[in-house]
Amino acid sequence: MRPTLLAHRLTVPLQRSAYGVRTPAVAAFSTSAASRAYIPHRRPDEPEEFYKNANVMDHSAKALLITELFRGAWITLEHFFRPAFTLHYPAEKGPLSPRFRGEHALRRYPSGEERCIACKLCEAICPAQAITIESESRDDGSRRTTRYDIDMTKCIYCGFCQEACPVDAIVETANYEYSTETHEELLYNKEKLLNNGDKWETEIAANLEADHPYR
Amino acid sequence: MSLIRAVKYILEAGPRESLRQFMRLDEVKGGLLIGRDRYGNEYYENLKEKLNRDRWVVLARSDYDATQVPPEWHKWLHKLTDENPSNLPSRPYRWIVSHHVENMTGTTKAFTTYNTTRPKVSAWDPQVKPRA
Repeated sequence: MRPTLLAHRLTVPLQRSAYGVRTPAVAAFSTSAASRAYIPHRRPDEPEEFYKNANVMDHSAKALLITELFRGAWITLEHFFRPAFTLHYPAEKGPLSPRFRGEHALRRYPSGEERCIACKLCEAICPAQAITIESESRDDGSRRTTRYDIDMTKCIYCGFCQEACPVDAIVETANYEYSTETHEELLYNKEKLLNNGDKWETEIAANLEADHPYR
Repeated sequence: MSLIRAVKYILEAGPRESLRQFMRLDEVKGGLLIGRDRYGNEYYENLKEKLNRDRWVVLARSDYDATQVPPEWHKWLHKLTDENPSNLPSRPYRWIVSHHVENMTGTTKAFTTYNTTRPKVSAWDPQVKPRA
């Protein structure tokens, strides 16, 4: 018996509205349905339709009357009357992968307990040495960080810290809009990172869930 | 933008709504209102639009910024999900920050870093003893 392709199973029910038909995503990882992708109408090695049955007179006529220039200009004119491809940034934004590596965050367990156990694996693997950790024993005997600083201006966003983390504590969120006016604002401490986690947890959890079949 | 498309959407939306959209999007676009977040930002979808331009937000505030979009809608806007965020619980855990704050850089509320540890060395505090 042949295995069935799970990726082809419909995950989203079809919705119909006045503004088009919702096509289901092919897999959880793709951001748009395959039917909406751009398909070139001609292979690059295939000759143009005009040259397939053209004789020497046709070739000469094209060369002398420089029709290619006018046809090229015509395409430019057509695009002038078509809707633009340009994204109008604050309103429209490009698609992101669930694996996108943006601003860092420290996560918590559902109970509210912080995940980080101060094993310092992220600090050890960090190629830019952007992470600084200090730890202490808490009153209940568990080891927790007292300092978790990330210099975001040193960070190269390689994602090794979230790969190294055994408890999924340090993650890189899909947020990339944290640019600042000063250098100082990018020196994140533990409170800032935990606050990021508390803020973005719904999105972080959804991204990890979308990515988990591939890990 | 194409002229025919612009005229169609302006007639569809009316002059007042068209002007509001023009102030926010630099063009007029018609779409299905998917939802409205608690800050008044409106989220639209029109799958007949160009690829990657089919989801957009009309931000509520006049001093609009991309970071005013809360995380659950950020997820939808970036096509990380097809689920409508208004159907999902926005706060599954008690500790999740419910109030979304935009990027406050350049203001007095900007983040300033600080030390989260106790000092490891105690400075010498000179006490001048009175002479006998």
